[in-house]
Amino acid sequence: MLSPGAFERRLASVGSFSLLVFFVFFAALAYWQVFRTDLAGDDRNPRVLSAFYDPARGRILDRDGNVLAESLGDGTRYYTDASVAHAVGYLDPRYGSQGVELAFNQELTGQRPSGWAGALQAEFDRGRLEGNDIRLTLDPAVQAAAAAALGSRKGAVIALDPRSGEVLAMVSVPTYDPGGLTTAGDALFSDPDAPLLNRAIQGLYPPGSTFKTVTAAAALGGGVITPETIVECPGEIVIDGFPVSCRNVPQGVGTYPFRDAFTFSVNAIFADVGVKTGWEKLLRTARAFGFERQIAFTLETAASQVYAPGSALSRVLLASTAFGQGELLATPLQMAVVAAVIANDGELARPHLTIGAYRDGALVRELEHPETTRVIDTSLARTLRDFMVAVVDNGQASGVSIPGVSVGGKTGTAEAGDGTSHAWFVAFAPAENPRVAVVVVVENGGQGGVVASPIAGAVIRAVLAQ
Amino acid sequence: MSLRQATGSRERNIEVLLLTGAAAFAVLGWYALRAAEFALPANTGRILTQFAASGVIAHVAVRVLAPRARPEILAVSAFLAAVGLVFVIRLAPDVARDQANWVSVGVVAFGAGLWAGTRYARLKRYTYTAGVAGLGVLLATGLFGTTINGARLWVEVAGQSVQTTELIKVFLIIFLAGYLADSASVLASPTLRLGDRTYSGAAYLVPLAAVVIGAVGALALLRDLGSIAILLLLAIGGLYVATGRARFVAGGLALLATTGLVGYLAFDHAQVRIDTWLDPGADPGGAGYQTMQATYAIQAGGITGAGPGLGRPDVVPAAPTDYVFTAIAEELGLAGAAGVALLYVAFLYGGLRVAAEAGDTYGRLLAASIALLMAIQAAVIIAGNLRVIPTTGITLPFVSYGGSSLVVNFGLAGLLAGISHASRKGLTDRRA
Repeated sequence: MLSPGAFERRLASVGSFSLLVFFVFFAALAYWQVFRTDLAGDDRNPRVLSAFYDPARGRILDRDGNVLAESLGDGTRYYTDASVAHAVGYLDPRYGSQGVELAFNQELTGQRPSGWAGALQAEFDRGRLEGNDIRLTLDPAVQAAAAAALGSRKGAVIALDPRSGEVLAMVSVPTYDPGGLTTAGDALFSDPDAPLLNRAIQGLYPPGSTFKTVTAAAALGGGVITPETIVECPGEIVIDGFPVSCRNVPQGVGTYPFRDAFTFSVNAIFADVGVKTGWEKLLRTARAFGFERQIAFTLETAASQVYAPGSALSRVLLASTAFGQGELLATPLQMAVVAAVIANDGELARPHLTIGAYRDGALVRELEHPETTRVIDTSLARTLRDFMVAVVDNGQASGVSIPGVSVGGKTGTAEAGDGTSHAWFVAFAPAENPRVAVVVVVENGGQGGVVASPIAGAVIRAVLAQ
Repeated sequence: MSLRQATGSRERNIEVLLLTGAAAFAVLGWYALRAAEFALPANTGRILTQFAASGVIAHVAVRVLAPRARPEILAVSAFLAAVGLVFVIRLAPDVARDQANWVSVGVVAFGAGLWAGTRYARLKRYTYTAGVAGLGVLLATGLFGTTINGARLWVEVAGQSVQTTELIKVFLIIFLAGYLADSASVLASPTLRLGDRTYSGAAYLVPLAAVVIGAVGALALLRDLGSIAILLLLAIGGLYVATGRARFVAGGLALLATTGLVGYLAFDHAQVRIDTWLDPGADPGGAGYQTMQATYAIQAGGITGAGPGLGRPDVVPAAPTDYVFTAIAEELGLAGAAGVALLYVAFLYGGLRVAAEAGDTYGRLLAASIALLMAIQAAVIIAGNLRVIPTTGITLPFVSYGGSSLVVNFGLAGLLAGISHASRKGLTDRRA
């Protein structure tokens, strides 16, 4: 027979041990449920996706309130317009996510504020989440005009209001159906034309002559030259054995003021002026405009570069950089920022894509707080504005002039490296009180002043028609 | 027993009070799921009514057969079954009806257990029969069983799949309690004195070792790692409460570690489990999927839970069975999951009290073994869900979906309550 006293002591030990095990479990629960909050956002966590397929997910609207993306009763996401696919984006279990769908996922799913106070509040308030609508700055008329003008040609159009930084149109071709990723995802990802790439903010192209705006800003701002300085181009200018052609000068003109070299986009003059300006001033100005880093924007942007990482900063490279070739690579957004700064008296209103989060048509909160920063002097900006108006007034860009409206612009015909050229056009209008800055790139499209400028003209007309 | 005795029992009135907790949980769970706009099975009302009726019948059975039994045994079992029913409705609505039916069958088993428990002394004569029968059932499972989820644990009986490892637990309990009652005093002393010669008591371990090693070997062939862990831990626990000798605990733990090591080296099945436990992210879409998803689900619960019907525990494979604790952790949070774990502590304490109150060695060891079995089984699967140990495919007693488990556990709970009645009646009689 067991001794009752000893037996009960052992039972008490078992009881104590079970409490110890319970505390281990409590600690394990606390570890997972209180401290491992990082797991909630893990991309393999299906809760992230099921939030996306929640029928209560918020809509994405254009600035007039038209629906660009909404969730149907069964949770399917419905997209109305393929031309805004890159701005609106997608969210897919296999292919990840992009665009506003990704950038404002929390707002759209209606997740609660983070931080200790927010988390604690959420613990006791776990009702069904209703997402907020996101209203974009995109203007349906401008967006439609840009998409129609670019058509099926590969390239990008971006238009923004230089005074506010609001993006009015953003088109990237080829585009895709964000709702069709489940079936077409593999094909889209392996497509050599990269339809998922948002060319307007992530496409990197040599900017060609459109970069002469930056070179001119560096040279004029640095006191190297004035608009009226007389320049001369004797057929070609040789820099350290590298000849640059004087092509583009009007017939029978020998000497002319620097402003005309800009109007007619004379490469040799810009090579010469660039070398006189020097790397330091050119780089400082380019960086002030946003080169060499990702431009702060609503969505992820690519950084434009002045020279390839590790390159020796030679005079030859400086010369070719000054007229827009060299190792320059710029996004359309980058050149739109250049145009907007010039149009806005030297100040940059940070470009952005959202007006705010809305619930039942009423503003809940603004999502972005774009600040304004000075990039160049007002007087320099006005000088460059006049330079660009002269480009259009002298007929260098077809299809962009509008009766009674003064338009500023700069063409670019950038060597693509395969014998073809990317057609660029950078513009703003009206010059005296700019309401729109627009950049057009047509990949392998040919001459900027012929191919790209009519597209910019269509966008400007759409803005001014309102 | 007079009618006055049956209706005036203080224990039974407390039991009624405690049972309202189980009923309240079921009703609250129902309302919470409705509020969450969860697609409830069409016959939810009937399922819950049947559950409530089963509870009433179980209570009446205790009043009639074992009026002096401790009240917490049935109350805690019923509360856990209520949690189980709500979560089976939520996780596997199509089979919620079956779960309610199995609870009803479980109540019949509970009644049978009560009846047997009140005359538990007679069970002792089946000690070695039970040991042999347990091994026989294992053998039969190996020969005639069907394989589900990689483990061969089921036998078709009259059109129903019966998980025989659940049945074996009954045999094991009867064998272990009887064997320990026979040999405890011998095993408890380091040596055995007979005349002027001393013998080691170790020879008395042979029957236990034979049954345990035979069962472990058979279970290893059936690939039932969870049952091996439960079996070894139960043998260790039983030896400890019977003898109090730390040497047996140490030896048992060494055997457990060896089994684990051999399993890891010899069985791919076990190796995958342990590798997955250490690093589920190595194969997130394959072997590690269940563990990763369980981790996400537990995390999503937070302190107070997502709320019944509002989480996504259904994405975890085997959510209604092996991973039901994970589902509880997601939808009821730290508070609810810790509460469920505490219910098993409460069941263990109740069982240990029954053991302490029992009038003889056999009754004490039988009660303690049942209490230990429930607690160990709950601890092994909860620890697996929480990644404290590698995961093993066993059920959470009274909560997981599954008929065999429910019926056997209710039967053992009845046995415990029956022993409690027999002991406490004896106490009163002696006092009187």
